[in-house]
Amino acid sequence: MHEQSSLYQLFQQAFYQHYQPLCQYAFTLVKEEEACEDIVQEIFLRVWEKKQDLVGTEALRYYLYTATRNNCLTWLDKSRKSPLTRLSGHETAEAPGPASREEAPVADFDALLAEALELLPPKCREVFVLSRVSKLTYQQIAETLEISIKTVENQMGKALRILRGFIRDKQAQAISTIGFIAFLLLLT
Amino acid sequence: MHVNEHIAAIIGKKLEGQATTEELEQLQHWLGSGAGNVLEYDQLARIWAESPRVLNHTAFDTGAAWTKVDAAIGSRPRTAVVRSLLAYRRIAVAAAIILLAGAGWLLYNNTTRWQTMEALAANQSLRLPDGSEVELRKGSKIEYPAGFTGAERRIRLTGEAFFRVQHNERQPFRINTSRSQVEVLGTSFLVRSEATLDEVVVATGSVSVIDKAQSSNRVVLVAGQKAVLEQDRFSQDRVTDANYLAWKTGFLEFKATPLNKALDDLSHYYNISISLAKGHEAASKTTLTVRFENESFESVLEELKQVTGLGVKKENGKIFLYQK
Repeated sequence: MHEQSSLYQLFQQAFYQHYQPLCQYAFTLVKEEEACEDIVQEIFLRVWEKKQDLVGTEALRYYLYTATRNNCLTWLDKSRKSPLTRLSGHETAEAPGPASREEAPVADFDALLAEALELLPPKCREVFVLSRVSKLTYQQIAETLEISIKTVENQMGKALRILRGFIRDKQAQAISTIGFIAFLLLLT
Repeated sequence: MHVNEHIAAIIGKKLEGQATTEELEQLQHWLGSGAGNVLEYDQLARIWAESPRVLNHTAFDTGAAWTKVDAAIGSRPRTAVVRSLLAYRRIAVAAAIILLAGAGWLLYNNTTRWQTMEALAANQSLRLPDGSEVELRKGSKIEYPAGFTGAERRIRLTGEAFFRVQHNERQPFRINTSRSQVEVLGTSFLVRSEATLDEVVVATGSVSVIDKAQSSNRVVLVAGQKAVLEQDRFSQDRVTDANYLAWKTGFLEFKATPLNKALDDLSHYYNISISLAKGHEAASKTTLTVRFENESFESVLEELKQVTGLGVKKENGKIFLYQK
């Protein structure tokens, strides 16, 4: 056990700590699981081969997130250029939403929240995901996306408002639908 | 009743724990100025709390990914290779037993893909498939499935870890040690499982701890409480400081703390037994007010001697303090 290099241990620790949140973040951009995992694994390999000085430091996190973001955007560019590759992969690449919205008049909170999250504007969504999934601090998000902390704060507030607005409207619709149905039943 | 941009940003900061005093005052003022506002705040807080779970896509198999990356980085230290060979041998033995027992059992093992994370050289943080965070104390081990499907989220712990469990009412989070089962909805707490006892300390939320030997023997703990299960009996107490997390934070704080309690905390952090010598228990009336941050055991012992005026002697690897 004493022979095991501590660089290797630190690297493994960093992998276990960051792999999942990085993949979750990548998925919000790339939306294909295998591609996400490949991208993130590649980045870790690159860290081992060329950036060992970062291992065990806080700066590693910034590198991992920035590299993930850049590689995802590159991947998106490439896949847009060849539409065939996009089609052959996943036929249904649209947002995960509630399976049967039309059927359930009183919609499930989770389903509404999932739908609302997909509808956030891209930048806003990125900030929100980095905060709530990757658990980055506002400072770290600001550095990764190269925006000010004030912008991060505002984007978070904006996300909360939009999410809340969407859910409230849908729930209001559901209630008025029930009310309407009840009204119809009364008439019959 | 609709929240404006400014307040929404402040609410985000507050939930994150980053709001300034001024901002908190503004928030309080806003909350006080209308009943509808309190409701809106609750709704936003709920959205903030539930989002990680809803956003977390299907689990990414960190263990399998690590195996790939590990193989790719080439020249591995010898001990790592030895460890993986041992793993194969264990699996080979298990396979023989499984085949004798019946094909059904073998199938079960292959599909659940249980992973083990052991903190060998240092504390280790990791993220579970549902977004929950675990910090394993060095020397401890956790086993968990690749994905939390089914009615519950179940993991196994050997040793000591601090958990931040992602809120999910519909899928209770259950931690099994050899002795007890700790059940939570969403909260942060510590579980410590030793040879003769289990201890659970709750930082936020609430947790129930069940004696596996007798499931009717159980306690429910809320924030600031702790319980110890020893010889099939639970003893409960209030937690008065954050020293139980010293292994994670690196610092120990004593504020008029009775000497016995302080020595217990130090023993636990340094993994060295320090106590009052037999016959010198009167010294336990002394209280300690001092703070140690990432200090070596030797310097702490020196400081103890100076502050308490007690003498120190070593016997069989244990430290004893005595009245001179």
